[in-house]
Amino acid sequence: MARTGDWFPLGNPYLARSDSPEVRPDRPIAQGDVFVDVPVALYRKYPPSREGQHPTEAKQTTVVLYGHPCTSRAGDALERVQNVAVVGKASRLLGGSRWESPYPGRYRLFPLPALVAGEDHVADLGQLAVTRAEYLEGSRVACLSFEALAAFQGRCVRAVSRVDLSIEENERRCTPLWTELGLWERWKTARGTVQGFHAWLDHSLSSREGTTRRQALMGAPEEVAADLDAELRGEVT
Amino acid sequence: MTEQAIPWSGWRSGEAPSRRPLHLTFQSTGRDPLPNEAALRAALGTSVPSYWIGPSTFELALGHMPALRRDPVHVDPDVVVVRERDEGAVLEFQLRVRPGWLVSAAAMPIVWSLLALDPATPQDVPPVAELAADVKAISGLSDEALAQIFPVTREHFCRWRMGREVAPSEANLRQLVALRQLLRDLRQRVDSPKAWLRAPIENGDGATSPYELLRRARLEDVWHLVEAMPSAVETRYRLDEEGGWTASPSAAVPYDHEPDDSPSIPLDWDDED
Repeated sequence: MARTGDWFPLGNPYLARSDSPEVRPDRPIAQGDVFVDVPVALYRKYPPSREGQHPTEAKQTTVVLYGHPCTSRAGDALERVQNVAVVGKASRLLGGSRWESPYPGRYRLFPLPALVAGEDHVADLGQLAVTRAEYLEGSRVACLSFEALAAFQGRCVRAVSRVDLSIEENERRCTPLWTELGLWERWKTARGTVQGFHAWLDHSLSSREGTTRRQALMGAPEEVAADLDAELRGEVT
Repeated sequence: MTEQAIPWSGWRSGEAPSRRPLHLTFQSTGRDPLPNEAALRAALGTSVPSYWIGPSTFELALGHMPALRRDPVHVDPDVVVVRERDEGAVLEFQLRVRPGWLVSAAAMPIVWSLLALDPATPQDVPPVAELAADVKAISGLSDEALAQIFPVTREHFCRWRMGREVAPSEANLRQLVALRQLLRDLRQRVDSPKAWLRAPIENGDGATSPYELLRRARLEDVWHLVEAMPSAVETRYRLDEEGGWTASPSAAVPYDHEPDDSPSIPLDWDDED
């Protein structure tokens, strides 16, 4: 039997959250971020299309960004078209049935507790839609915490494959991305632009010969962070 | 922040869960449920919800408490950092964790009071020494070679392994844990981790072996190499609470036939605002 908190963090699952956009404007838009009022195109799942009604439609709704940055980004920029999973209020989607920590079963869903105005929401990883990248900008209301992002990635894996990776596995795989996002945000805050960040990341790590900073995101994140400190202080690294 | 290991012998109850998270079970002594819960939360810097599992007991999962983790650096489930707080919390409790959990020395007064242990209690082998010894034993590498991975001097690594220095830097501590995790996985895939670590590789961008990659802090690249090999550990299937089968793989890609019990009507779009 699943233990409490086996797959979803018990603490605050958000790095940042607000009832209205925008949170952490300097942080790069990334997987697991939640956005409101996003125009999307989707193949309608429910209610079933009535006679004469086309099942595809455009909607404006809350979504969670589905794709891994390696998929959703090309360098500094977001790909023009993004995959998102639809988010809805848990009270409506679950029809009054309770689904609480440790969130058993329902492997297609990802909980977003107290997402807006204290109300629990749920992302449906089986109800994917497409949107344009510009619709995401400025509309972010939540960034997941490290633990929740790792859980989100694990949930996506489980939803499509039924493979249940361990928390350790999910978090290990998530670590380089998480470290990069933090560094990226610091760069943007300090410089006001993301320009140059990826070139800097692909440059040699000062403390390890033959290794780029990107290659050390998992193995030596503190050393990469120290390089960024020096960079932002204007010291040559 | 310096780190100090909690001795394994200090744990009050011994059930070590096979999976995370770390669970602390606190039991209040009176009828009132946990009058110090607020103080405890303040001490731990978290607002994590509690889960009542009895009239005088609640359970917290520390493994996911953001306040216990450094951000945004490497996080390993074997390492928990508790930040120092002014408040203490004295509660009787049972602790169920696995060996090797580490807590900052700064937080030790809180931890000792929680453990109701005498700080002067003699310690067994410190987990740092366990970690370093495990790393050496599994890898088969010399102290000198292992020291270069961190990088520290050979003498420095020896002090960890011999238990003479129990407070490595936080970065080194995490790296020790991460390296042990990698080596444990590696052990399931090759007969001789030492030979594998020293074996020539291609496309190492100048690195000639997995060991050389580790020396260059390219842990992620080594993980990729390890995961490319089949594991001897069988995928375990378990019957879960929903009556379905779930696979817990170590490496191989499993498949289970668990039906999805998500609501069949997940979205009521027309009513969404």
